[in-house]
Order: sequence, then C-alpha cells, then structure tokens
Amino acid sequence: MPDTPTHSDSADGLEPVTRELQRPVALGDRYFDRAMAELRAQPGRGRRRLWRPLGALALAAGLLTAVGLGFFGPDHDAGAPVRFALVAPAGEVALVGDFNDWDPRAQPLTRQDGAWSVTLRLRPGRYRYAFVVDGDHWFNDPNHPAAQDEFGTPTSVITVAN
Amino acid sequence: MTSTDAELVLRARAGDLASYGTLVQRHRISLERYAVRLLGNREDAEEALQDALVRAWQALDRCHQPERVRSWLFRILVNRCRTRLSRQDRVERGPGADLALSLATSAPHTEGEAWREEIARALSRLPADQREAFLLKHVEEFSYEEIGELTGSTVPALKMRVNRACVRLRELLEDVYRA
Amino acid sequence: MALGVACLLTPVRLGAQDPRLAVRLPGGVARSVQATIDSATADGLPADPLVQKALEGWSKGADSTRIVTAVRALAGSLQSARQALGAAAPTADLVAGAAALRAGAQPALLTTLRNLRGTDPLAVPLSVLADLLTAGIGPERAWSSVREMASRGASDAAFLRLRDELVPGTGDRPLPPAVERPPGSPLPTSRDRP
Repeated sequence: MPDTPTHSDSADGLEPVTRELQRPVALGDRYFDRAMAELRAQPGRGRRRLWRPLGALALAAGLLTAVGLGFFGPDHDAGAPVRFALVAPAGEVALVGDFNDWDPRAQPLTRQDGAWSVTLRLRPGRYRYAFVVDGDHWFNDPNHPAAQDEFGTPTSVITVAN
Repeated sequence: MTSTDAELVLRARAGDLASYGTLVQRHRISLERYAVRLLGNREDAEEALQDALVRAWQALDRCHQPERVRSWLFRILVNRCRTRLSRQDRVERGPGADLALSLATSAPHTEGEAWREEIARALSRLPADQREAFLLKHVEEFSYEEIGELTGSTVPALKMRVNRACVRLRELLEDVYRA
Repeated sequence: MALGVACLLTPVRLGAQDPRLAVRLPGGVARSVQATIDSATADGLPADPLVQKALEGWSKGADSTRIVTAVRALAGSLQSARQALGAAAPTADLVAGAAALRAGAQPALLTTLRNLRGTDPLAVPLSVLADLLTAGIGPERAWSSVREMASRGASDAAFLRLRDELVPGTGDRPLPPAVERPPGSPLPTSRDRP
C-alpha cells in the first residue's frame, strides 16, 4: 500500500532553507570559457560564420552586455576612470554596486602589493557600493562616505564628477 | 536595448555565438545554483554545466519555444546532472565531498556558515530524485507541469517526491532549529 | 543632458520583466518588484535605479518585503526629486536628488539649487549635499555651504573638495572592523517555531 502523504508538498516552515538555497553559488568563469572555446572550435552552425574570426571580441561584447550596464548605457567606454581599492587580507574581494547590478562576479578585484583594486569607467553621478570579501563579509570603503542603508549592511557611496 | 530570450535564441540559431553567450549569462545563476545543489560539489557541477552548454548550442534547432528557453536549458542540464550522478555512485567522490573537505579544513566560524553546512548536509541525504524535484520546485520555482517536461515524470509522482523531500528536510533540520 | 537623452531613447517595454530581476530574484519577489517598477515607470520615472535597489537588497540577503519597501521608498523619493528638479532632469540628477531628500533635505532646496545652477548638471552638488547631511553636518550649515558654492558657479570638483573638508575622516579612515553579512535569514529559535 503506497504511503499517503500526511503533509502537502508545500515548503511551509522551510523558507529559511529555500531562501538559503536560492542564493547564487558563483562558480567562476572557467567552465563557461571552456564551453565557449569548444563551441568556437567547432564548425559553425548555420550559414553565417561571422563569429569565428571575431570569436573573442564577440564573446567579450556578449559578456559586457550581459553584465547589464543599465542606464549607464551600452557605451561602456564613456566615463571617468575610477579606482576602487581595499587593503585587506583575503582570498577574494569583489566590488558590488549600482554600476554592476550588485553582482559579486562582475568586478573581481586583483591583488597587488597588499591592496585589492579594480578600475572602472563611470559616468558622472552617485553610486552606492560595497566590497564583499571571501564571498561573505561586507565592508564599506574607508576612503569614501558611508551611505544610508536600509538593509543593515555596510555601504559606501561615491560621487563621480564631470 | 535589451533583447528578449526569444530574440537571442533566434540569433544564436543563425550562428551568433555572442548572442548565445548573452543568453547563457542571463540564466547562468540559476543553472549554476541547480547544478551545485543537486550534485553537491563544484567540480561535478562545472563539468555538467560545460557539457550542458555545449549540447544546448548544438541542439538549438530543437528549441521549439524560444521564449521558454530557460526551461529548455534546464532540461538539458537536468539530464547532464543525472548522468553525472550515476557516475558519482561508481566513483568515491559523492554529494558530500565538498562538505567533508570543508569540515576537515576549517570549522565554521559564523552562524551563517554553520547554517549553510547543515542545509547542504541535509540536502545530500535526500535521495537524488527527491533532491532534484525539491530543487526544481522550491528553489528554481518551476511549475509541476514544467518539471514534468524537464524530468519526464508525471505530476503526481513529482508531488510525492517533493512532499517526501520536505518532510525529510524538516526532520533533518529540526535539531538545528532547536539548537 | 546626454545621459537623460540616452534614457529617453532606450525603449521601455512596460510590463516586460527586467531580465536582471528575472534571473537573480525568485519568481515571486521579481514579480512584486517589477510591479512596483512598472508603476513608477508609468509615471515617467527611470527604471534602472529601482532595479539596482532591488538587486542591492537581494545581494544583501534582505527578504522580499524589505526589498519591495525599499524600492517603493526610492520610487517616492525619485518622484519628489523630479517634482523639485523638473521633468527634464536626467536620471543621475534624480538619483542624487532622491538621496539628498532621504538624507533630510527639503524639496524646495533642490529647486533653489536647480535655479542657481542653470543648465549645469546637478548630480554632484546634490550628492555632496546628501553626503554632508548623512555625515551629520547640521542641515543649515550643509545647505548654506552648498548654496554658496552653487551661487559662485563652483565646479563639480570644488563641491567634492568641500565635502572632503567638511566630512571628518573621508580619505584617511582606517579599515572598519569586519561586519558579517547576516545569513539569508536567522536560525529559527525554538520559540519561533510554528
């Protein structure tokens, strides 16, 4: 005799679990790059083979579009160069903010001489942002004003001038 | 200007690899999340995802509803993950591998990390079909009809698996709740 | 303002879900947020700052109620900023204006600033005003400093120097102690269990 379920299939009481499971896992680009490399090496699908010689450029353009530069426009070369830096012992530091959809994978910082940094081009305006260290620890930027925050997490704001 | 998924599919079908890349990036977070949660470790997830992306590109002509490409990508990934799961059974590395390694190398020092480990541990203790159904229903939020298409199972069977998964997870995590 | 024109030219498909929300937020949350955003864009407000606010909340582990509340509050501030700055105000000005309002500035001050600056963009002076107020500089002092510089036709760089002078510690603040992001939701205690 098959079991008759005594509860429904709903996840009542498991919201903290599903919430946690819905967090992104951030695998990095290695598998993606390998897949795309494999596809570029294959004979092209369809008649148009434009992508073959332009492979790397096309991929870069696709990735940049996907990062979603929002109202800062698809013209991602415009804007003043702005350097974000953090001094911290860490395995990994990411920059998240209004300029990159708060995506910790969009702008990983690179480490040199003890400082983690990245340089972005930003159009004039006000941007909220923070550093995320080792995927988990949020820091604000000691060199810029602290922002008001309604989520209870350290946040900074940078104002980019013309 | 943002292209719709359907537009990207059509361009990808015509050979535009950049559009395919954009399409994948859009759905990447949920695809990665599913693969890691189901398989329980990143290495297997990366291999399953790499496989899935290559196959999906090759099979684009068979995506008959471009506006539902997310479902379609997941169908391919679900199958790649099932293949990988059956390989896991034959090889020592299994769902708990990453978890065991992380436990061995460092004790969780935050409440958040301990909580995450408990969940990963509980999830790894579900049978694979229940884990699959639970993740597709309550994490990726597909409808039962869609999950039926992705997995080839009937809706009543899926509901039973999800129900059992929920019951088991509540049991396994009850101790954590009480702590 | 080039930025404003770029926004007008970007086709907005009302009712279509922003793909960034669809990808990163769970279905229910994405829908609630999108509904709020659609209502704001129907009033002519820019969508992107609202999308960024939702993504910010999500990346910080906030629950859907908090996210929707924050997006609505921002939409309200953007609306007030637009009333004060005029319908042609570019998005960057509205974002900075909303920040100034949320930091306690009165809408009339925004209008005064717009009149003082003429056709020059306002994002930097407004942002500096917001920073001064947030840092606890008294509202009268904050406003009089900004107004005085605007009357003199000061450059954006000059406004930023003003802020750096008035806000203590900007630029040489030591690294704050680590604050951990709270888990997505706290471990339920026994008394919380249903």
